[in-house]
Amino acid sequence: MDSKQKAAQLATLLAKGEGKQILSLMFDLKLLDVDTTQAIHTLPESQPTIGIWEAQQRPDGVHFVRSQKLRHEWSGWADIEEFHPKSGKRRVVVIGESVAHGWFLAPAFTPCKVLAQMLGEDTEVLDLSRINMALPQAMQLNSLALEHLAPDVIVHFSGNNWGPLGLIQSLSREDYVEFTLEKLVESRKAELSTLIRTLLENIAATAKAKNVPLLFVIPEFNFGEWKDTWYGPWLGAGKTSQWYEKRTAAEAAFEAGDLHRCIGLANDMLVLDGGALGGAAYDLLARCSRAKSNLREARELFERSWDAIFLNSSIPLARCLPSNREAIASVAAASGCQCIDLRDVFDQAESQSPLFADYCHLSVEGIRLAMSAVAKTLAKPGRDCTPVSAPPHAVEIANSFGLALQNSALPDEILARHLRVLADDSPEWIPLFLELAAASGPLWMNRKLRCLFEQEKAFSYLRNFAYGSDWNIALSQNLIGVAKQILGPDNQEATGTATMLLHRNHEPRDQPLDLLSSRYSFLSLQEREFLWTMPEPVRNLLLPSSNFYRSYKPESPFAFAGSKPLCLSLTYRTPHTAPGDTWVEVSINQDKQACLPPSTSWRTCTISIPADVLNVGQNWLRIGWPKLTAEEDTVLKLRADRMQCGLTPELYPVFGEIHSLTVRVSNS
Amino acid sequence: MRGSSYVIGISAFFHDSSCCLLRDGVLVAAASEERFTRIKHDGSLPVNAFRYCLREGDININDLSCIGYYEEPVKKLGRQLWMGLPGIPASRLHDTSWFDVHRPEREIINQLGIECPLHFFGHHASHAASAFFFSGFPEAAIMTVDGVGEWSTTAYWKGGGSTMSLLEEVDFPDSLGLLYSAVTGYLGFEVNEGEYKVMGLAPYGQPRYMDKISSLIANGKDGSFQLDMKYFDFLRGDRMHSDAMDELFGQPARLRDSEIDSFHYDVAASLQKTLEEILLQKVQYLFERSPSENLCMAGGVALNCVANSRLLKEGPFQRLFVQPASSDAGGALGAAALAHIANGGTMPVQSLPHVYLGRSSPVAEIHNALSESAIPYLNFEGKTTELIEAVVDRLAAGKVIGWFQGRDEFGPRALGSRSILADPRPEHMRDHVNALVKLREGFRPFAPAVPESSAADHFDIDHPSRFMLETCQVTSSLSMPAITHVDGSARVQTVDPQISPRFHALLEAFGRRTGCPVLLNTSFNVRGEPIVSTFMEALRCLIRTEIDSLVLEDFLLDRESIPTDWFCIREVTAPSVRGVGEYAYTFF
Repeated sequence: MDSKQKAAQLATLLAKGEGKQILSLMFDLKLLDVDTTQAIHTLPESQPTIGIWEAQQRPDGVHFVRSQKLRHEWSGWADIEEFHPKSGKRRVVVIGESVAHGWFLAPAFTPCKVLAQMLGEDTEVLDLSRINMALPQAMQLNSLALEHLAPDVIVHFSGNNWGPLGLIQSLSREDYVEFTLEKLVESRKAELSTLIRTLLENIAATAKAKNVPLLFVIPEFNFGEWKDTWYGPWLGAGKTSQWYEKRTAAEAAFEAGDLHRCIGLANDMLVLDGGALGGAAYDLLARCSRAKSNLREARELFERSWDAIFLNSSIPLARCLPSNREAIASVAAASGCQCIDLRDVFDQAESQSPLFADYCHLSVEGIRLAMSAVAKTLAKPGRDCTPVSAPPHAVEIANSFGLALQNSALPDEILARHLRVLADDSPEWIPLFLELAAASGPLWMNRKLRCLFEQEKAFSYLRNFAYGSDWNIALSQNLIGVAKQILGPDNQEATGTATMLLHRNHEPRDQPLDLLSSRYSFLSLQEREFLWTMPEPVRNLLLPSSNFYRSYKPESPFAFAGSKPLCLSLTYRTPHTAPGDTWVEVSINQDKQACLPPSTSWRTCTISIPADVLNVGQNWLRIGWPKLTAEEDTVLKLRADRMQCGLTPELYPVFGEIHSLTVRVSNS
Repeated sequence: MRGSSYVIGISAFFHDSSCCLLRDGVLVAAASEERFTRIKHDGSLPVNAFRYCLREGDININDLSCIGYYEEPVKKLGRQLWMGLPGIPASRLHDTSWFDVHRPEREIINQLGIECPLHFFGHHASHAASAFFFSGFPEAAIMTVDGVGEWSTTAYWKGGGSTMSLLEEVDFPDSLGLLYSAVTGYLGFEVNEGEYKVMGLAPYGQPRYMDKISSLIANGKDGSFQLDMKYFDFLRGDRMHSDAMDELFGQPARLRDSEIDSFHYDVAASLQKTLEEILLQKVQYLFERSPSENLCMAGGVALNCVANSRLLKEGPFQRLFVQPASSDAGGALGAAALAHIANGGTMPVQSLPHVYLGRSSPVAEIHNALSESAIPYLNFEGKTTELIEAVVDRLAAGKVIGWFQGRDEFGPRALGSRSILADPRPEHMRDHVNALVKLREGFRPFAPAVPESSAADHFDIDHPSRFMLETCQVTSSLSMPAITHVDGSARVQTVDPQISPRFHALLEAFGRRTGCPVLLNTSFNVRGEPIVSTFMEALRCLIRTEIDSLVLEDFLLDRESIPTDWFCIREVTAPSVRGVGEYAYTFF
């Protein structure tokens, strides 16, 4: 047998049973000695670059100038052309994420600009914040800043983006068999915490070696905009059903004002799910506490609620987990660094204005308060911090408008909140918002928005956001209804135009309308379907585990326009529900249209939709999934099997899957 | 719909992943994943192309009869293991996914939701089937040549009816594709991407280094050949060629983007000529093993259109069919055909009339988006003749046109669906299009498109050449420097009025106006990016380049009508992401 035949035979053996695992273990035990002397051909190193700024040697020293090669990344960073060599001024470097960047208030009104103004002219603030910054990038920037920018102090203002992405993939079958769900969560939290501490310690040690003090600023979360998901952990058919029954009953009790009953049911849910993977019980308890004006307790419970979905990595919610908060505080204390917790700062605030622009980004007032705390810590003894004036009105409008667009596909109450802010500020902007929300093309193609970009510099962040991609805005659940509610009966022209646009752009005509496209399946911040509803290029980057729609809730909503008779085609399956006395229900605008049998393999059905159930404007299609029938041992086996294949285990139940969902004009 | 057999073919997890759909053995749709993800040569599972194929076929996933996958993972792993564990790149030491032979099956089932049977076929069998079953030949000899699949790098086949039989094959590491790629890397171009450039560079040089190239490969008198591995590093390093190749040629490898001089031209010419000579001998050998009038070819090396022309002119076969998407993308076609046969079907004798197998943009959608933008544009709905005349006005005035019509092409060539068009006669046009429109190297020639009926008046060609897969001499009395290569050759596309009526009408109208029924036709993209697929991508390409006018189906936009603010798209657009490596061939 020659070497090629032997290799082929080895491949055949490895392909069987535990072959991959055997080879993996041989690697781990270093039984396979890998030649590290292989030829490596390296390219010459380029000049140092800090973020988007590259070094340029000039007579007066090294300047860091924005790189034209990285032009496409500029919008994620501060709008600063260059950092000059250090002068006689005290130099503060700020490294942070989107909260530190300023979001839609940037570039006119950013935390760093506010801080610089507060600290006065003898201090300069270098803004190295970037949207979506992760901790390893912050660590790299910390080292680069220490090496090249000669800071007197470095401020790290981040913690929201340090999630557990990737940790769950490292689970092995043994992990799962050995641990309960609660222990599994705890072990992953410990792993994340260790990782964060290691990186933070590196940051602190590097700064200490250069005798540069650090200040950590821990971000705060807006609990007012937090609403838990419907997700309950997958506990097996009996317990999962019980969990959902109790959840439904608890919601009803809360709506009826029966807080006592609601609390009882929520505690029952906690008994079932252990509070390890689902935040719903804590969310209900928190709302009850808030209703009883016990705000401190409410916040603790809200925090437990979002901490409970720690392992639901598909929820793209930037939030500073309790373990992150603890890690920052303890590393700061251990390494002698100062630390400001914005929770304490905001708790003591007497401001009547909202401190948040959305779920985590700060409002003008929030930025002022946060930076005031930072400035007081950094200011020279005896120096008062300079008060900062409000930004121009146009900046506030740009912020409200950007936030309304960004949040337009979120649940009605969140959209309504942002529209109300916009309407209070500048009601004349609502018609443009509606036009964009119902548009056909991407944001950047809209004439009015283009004119706005050309005329008003305050919109520069939104402008970069818009031109950077072909993103369309997903249809909100009830765009026209919310707009009418905000505008009142006197402004029918704007809603009328939006209704016309909805029909023109989102009604099926010659070709069927694909309701699984990101335009028609709701982008809901707190829903696991998030990945599905992202525009395709983003979805591709995030690599979802399946390329079809999976519902992690008992029902799936979709929106579309159309007032003529339609034909709906649905290809679905219910992988964990056996056929029986349950049905998949399809309803339009709460009018039941069909009851379909559960099916563990794909099944296609066609449903005629008469005109009389359709609305002028938007229609709401709801698919209600049947109860799960897979028992606990089946669930355990499915999870273990997935982990054996290197796949993320399903911790949340899949109620139903949709491969195709279209509406077309009915022929008959 | 009931009663028909629907079969999906998939190629994935290496480079140029793609998906196609056959209905009763007839090709309905085919698309590469890169057109959806905008990642050049994207090798990921073609989830978007798969969805597109179902949509285009107007079917659902439960209508599928079976799936064909273009490779045999266990055999491929055997080859990878033979290469030796030391060959694993350092970055992959702790990543065991490369020897996970179940990955294709698992991902196809889990990610695509497949429930029907899944069949695996050999890489070269898929290439061979992709050529033979879509050639229109009832019987043929088949040659497949590429870098490597599982073990094979070159294979000789005989095809007839719905069957193919393997006659002989050459195994890794002896590979004509890897030879070409290694010298491509030595010449400072990207492996798996720059081979076209080397082919385009060759006519500028003289084959002075044939003897040196002959040191790299020993050609057998039968179907075999052998690489001298001391000149190659692809088994162990992160580079294709070894230092010994530098010593052999007496010069270090050219650095990327550095100056190209006569030495590089001559090496390219020598490599190209060596390849042609070897292929001619192999084709002769194949003819002896499998006498036929017809030859089918596929595999990455079959995209070498200069070699193809010599095989047809100087080789023993009367007719040649090269599968237009001959790289790994085309493997999906063959896998689908073989799966259809494995499922009890027979393949109809079908010639591939065109490659307009990708997605289109609905006219109403384009119209709505343009209306919302309120930019000036011309609407020619229902007025095709007027549209053609308006485009001819611009072409005759020396303008460069972005031409977006119907479904996009499957394969690397733009053939009048996603094309950039220009007058081939002005002296400056080649440099202008290379520099300002395509943003690429100046030496690269452009291809001409000509109505089939006029082709012989301007080119030394006596048969249709619809897929731009062969070259011929320019014989026209017209001077057309933009499409005439330095050796007087051109990579011509002949256009059939039945297949591409609007593109054909444009060529005819341009001919009537100017006396020149030929247009420069190049792919609608900029350097390093996939060809545009949607109208929005075409519009963004117009903004990012110096294209003068854009035709989007029935609508025409001139550059002057683009709002100033839109030009900031140039600033905020990220450079294209690459799906494959730089200097190294991606074995893992």
